Amino acid sequence: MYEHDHSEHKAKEYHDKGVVPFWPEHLLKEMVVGLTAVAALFVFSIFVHPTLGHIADPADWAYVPAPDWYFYWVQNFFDVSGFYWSELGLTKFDWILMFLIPVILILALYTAPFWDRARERRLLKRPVAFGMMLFGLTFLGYFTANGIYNHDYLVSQEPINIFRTSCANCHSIQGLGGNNKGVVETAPGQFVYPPDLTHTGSILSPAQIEQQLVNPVGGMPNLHLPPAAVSYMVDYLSSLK
Amino acid sequence: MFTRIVRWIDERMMVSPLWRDIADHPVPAHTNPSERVSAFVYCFGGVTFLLIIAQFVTGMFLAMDYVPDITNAYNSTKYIMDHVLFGEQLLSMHNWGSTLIIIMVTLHMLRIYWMGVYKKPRELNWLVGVTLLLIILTFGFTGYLLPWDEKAYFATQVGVSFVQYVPFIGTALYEIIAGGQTIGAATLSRFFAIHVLFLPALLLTFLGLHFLMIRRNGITGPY
Repeated sequence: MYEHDHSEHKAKEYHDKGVVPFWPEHLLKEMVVGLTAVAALFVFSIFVHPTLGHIADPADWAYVPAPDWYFYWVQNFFDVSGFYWSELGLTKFDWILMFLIPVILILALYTAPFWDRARERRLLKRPVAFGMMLFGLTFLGYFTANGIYNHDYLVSQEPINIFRTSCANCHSIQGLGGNNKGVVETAPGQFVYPPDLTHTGSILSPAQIEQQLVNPVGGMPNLHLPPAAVSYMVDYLSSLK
Repeated sequence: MFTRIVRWIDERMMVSPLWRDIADHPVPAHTNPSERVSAFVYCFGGVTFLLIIAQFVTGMFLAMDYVPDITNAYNSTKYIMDHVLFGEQLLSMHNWGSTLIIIMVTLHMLRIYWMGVYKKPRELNWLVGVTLLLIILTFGFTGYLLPWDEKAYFATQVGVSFVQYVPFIGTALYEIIAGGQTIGAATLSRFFAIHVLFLPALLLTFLGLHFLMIRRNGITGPY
């Protein structure tokens, strides 16, 4: 079954042609590279764990959506182009931006062998293909970076928006917001003195801030903030030293 | 003894011609990383395949403890992370594995594009490859919902809302994917089924085609 002279004959033929047999030479060496990647994944996974956020709450109005990192460019491309699209008054033709353009981009990728037909295979001698690749990489890179930046910006603005809508009626931060008398009448004859929040982070621990937001004491009404709003506010208020 | 067992099986199944066909074919030496270190660029596809196998294994173990309904999806993910033996390691590997696959697939595709591998006679394999890329991205998108935390929920809400813009069938398509007007219990069980049943079947089919065509067309020479 496994004739020896046959395989020896073949080995010489392979050697003369400058090729190696798929099994075992090629596959085993490729496996070494592959198993290195799997081992790196294994070791990395020991030290860095994904985090689980709060359980999904459809009513949470405060949460800033974030896709997986490799979809940031999709979200940001539609955010940015959608903004200019509506500035130009083209909302009637949303389907062009949201359907036709993605379909064209996917088809351009699919049909690469049909628009890049010349026999030449060196990239620098294929100007159209090279240009398309540069366009693609710049597109992905720009919208990914912009998406991450934009998401960070929205997350940093969110506690300030929540403060304006939910807290600023009574409290102030660095003189902004609050009641100019420094006192609020909660019921006839009942007064509370909402503290200035400018230095909250030096006075209360994050756990105490969370406790006060979820189960307020001292006359503050329960705002029933959604979980994302609580966690953004805890981070924000404890950063105010 | 071993030879006799192999011979006994082979007399009945005739696997050795098959095995010879799979194993015994020449591969150009310039793709072998031990001949030239720079040949590691030829390994990105193989590495992706190995990582996909790792995803299959970790995914199977995760499915033992995961429950796809709106209260238990989150709780069972928490249970896997906190109480299952090596659960956090499994979840972590599955999570970072998807990231690594996206990176490797991108590098693999760049290598194919850079070297003009998709040119005649390999056009069909490029079509299969782009389809595989879309399948892998769909894996990432559907898997992201399964922990059912806020990050997952709102990202899916944004992602699925894009299909509404498909002309004529947009609204219907949204309801087919989301299983209703909003992202909810039906979306979760649909995404779970897509992630663990539909997509693996599609992935294996297209990987089979991919490898068959590599075998038919061979590996490109160095220009």
